[in-house]
Amino acid sequence: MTFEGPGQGAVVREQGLPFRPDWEAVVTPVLDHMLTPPGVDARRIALLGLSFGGYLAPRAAAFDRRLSACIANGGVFDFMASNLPAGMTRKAAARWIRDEPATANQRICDLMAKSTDTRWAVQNGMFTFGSPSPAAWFLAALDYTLEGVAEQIRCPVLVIDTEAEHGFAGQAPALYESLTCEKAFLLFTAEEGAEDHCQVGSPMLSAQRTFDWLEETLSARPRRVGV
Amino acid sequence: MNSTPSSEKAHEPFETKNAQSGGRSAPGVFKSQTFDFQLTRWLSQTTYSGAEIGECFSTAHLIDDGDTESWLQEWSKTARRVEDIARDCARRGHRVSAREAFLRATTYYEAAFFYVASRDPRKRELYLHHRDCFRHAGALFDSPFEPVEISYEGRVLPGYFMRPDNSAATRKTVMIITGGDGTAERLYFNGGGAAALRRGYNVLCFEGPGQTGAHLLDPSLTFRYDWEVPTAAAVDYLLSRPEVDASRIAYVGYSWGGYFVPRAVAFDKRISACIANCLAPDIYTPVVQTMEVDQLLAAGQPITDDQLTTKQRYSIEEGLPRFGFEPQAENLIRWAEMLKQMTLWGLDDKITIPLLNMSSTGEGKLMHDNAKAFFDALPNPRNRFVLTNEDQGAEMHTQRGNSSLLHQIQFDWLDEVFAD
Repeated sequence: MTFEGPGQGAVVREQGLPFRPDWEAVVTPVLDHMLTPPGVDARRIALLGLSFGGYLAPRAAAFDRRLSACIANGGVFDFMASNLPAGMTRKAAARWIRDEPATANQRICDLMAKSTDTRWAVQNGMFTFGSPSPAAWFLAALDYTLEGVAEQIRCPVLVIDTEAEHGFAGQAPALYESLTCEKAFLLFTAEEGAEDHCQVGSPMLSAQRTFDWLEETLSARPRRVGV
Repeated sequence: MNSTPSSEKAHEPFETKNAQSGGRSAPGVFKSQTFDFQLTRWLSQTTYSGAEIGECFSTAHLIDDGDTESWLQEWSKTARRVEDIARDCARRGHRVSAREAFLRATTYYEAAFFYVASRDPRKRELYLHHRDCFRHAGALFDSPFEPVEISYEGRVLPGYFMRPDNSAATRKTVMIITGGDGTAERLYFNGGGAAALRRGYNVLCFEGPGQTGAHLLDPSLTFRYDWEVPTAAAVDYLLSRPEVDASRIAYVGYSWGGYFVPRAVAFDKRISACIANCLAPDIYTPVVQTMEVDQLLAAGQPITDDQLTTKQRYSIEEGLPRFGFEPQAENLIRWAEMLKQMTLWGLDDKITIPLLNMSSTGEGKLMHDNAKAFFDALPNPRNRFVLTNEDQGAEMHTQRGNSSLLHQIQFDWLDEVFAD
């Protein structure tokens, strides 16, 4: 089942629903919906999240125990970690933005003027998070962290990373380290032609590794019954 | 925009710089036009899971531009790596993963041997890997591909019979051949085998005498002008299969196949529609130009080995044995006489079944004008002349770089012809 949650695709465009950090609130009704008709093996449901979904999927897996496996491609532990102003913790950054929103806005706008990537990321972020300003988006985005959450995941997790990952560099190892469940780490390389974010350019190789892991994981495990 | 006889106007679309590519569809990785064109060919195979964009580019960027030895080494490495993936997946029971990796390895092995001359033992070795990977992949489809050996004058022609599913239904069927290079295996991808299966056709991809795999496996199989003879062997085979609707057999040929297919259908009346990509009423001129021996031949003097450039020597070593001649300069003239027999002129009134011509602007004005002149002489009102261009991303020879558009045009036309 492919689906869109708040902040994504038609949900944000047609219903105006922005992203929310507690993604289990999205996955739970999806699972309810999936499990209503027959045809889905309730003991073998996996959740695969791509890109920012590398945060959303593990977050949901921490709370909805009906998931039997989770794949984060690529893994995201703390969404804004690599965007924090130099030397600031997440809490310090939040305080600064609240105290000096005009300065923060100006600083982000300066960065946007210099980089197509940043401009796109902030504009898309404001739209999908429903934020009125760059600083407001930044503040909202700081909530997207798996600190204190990742260790609650009980199903097996595949954390994927790519050699040329830039937006989420270092995030996959951070997620992997924080997990206490059965886990696997998969690094795609330049030699394989699959070094870019989400293995763009190599979807077959990506699917091969991902689903080979999933097949082995779901077939090796004793089938789960409920919680 | 597809040109039709009635809308055909002047020749201003022929702006690309090179007979093969050079247009906006080219990846632009190599300055060498042949390398860039061949890279497009492998990239095109992604449409049918026969390549991965990341694997192609990461290989291409390691190749020394214009160096065929470097080309062979890098593609070989990628081919072996991906074949290892396939075998590992197969061992672990991952059927789809194994199939897809075997399909990609098939392509990368062909890329590796592409510039190797037929008598270099590495060509045969890499070809056998190419074939082997394809057969492993074919066995992993829900309706497995059947390798076939078509009886032909006491020898055999290699190919594959493929069905859309395992039912015993009688279906329309397409026979597909390539030209001077390419294999029956490759025809599954860019050649339209996969596209035909998706549209409910049976498929026979095969190679006639002189074509890459047929000649490597049996060097006594050499090109012949009377292509209706190997074609008849293939049609005989098809008619032995209960799944084949004998009234709906189509024949598709690429590149030199634009000569072979029309030639064959002029004589074998069991075929009911055909596609020439593109019509090649004369093979002589484009072939001697490609091999860069046109000026030597035009001089009308005996030709000796010491006159040859490196490119010409390669052309002779690779080309002449496939026509049944020892690769020596002195044989060029007799070989040229044989090529001159490969002409469609005079057969136009015998090519009576519906025919689709697929030309592309990157092939140049000469190829187009020859195809068009012959096309205009053909009688069937269902015939159609298509010219694809750069704005469509389809200006390259045989629409490389745009298999989806190519197969849409070809099979929509064929569906309509067979619907009657």
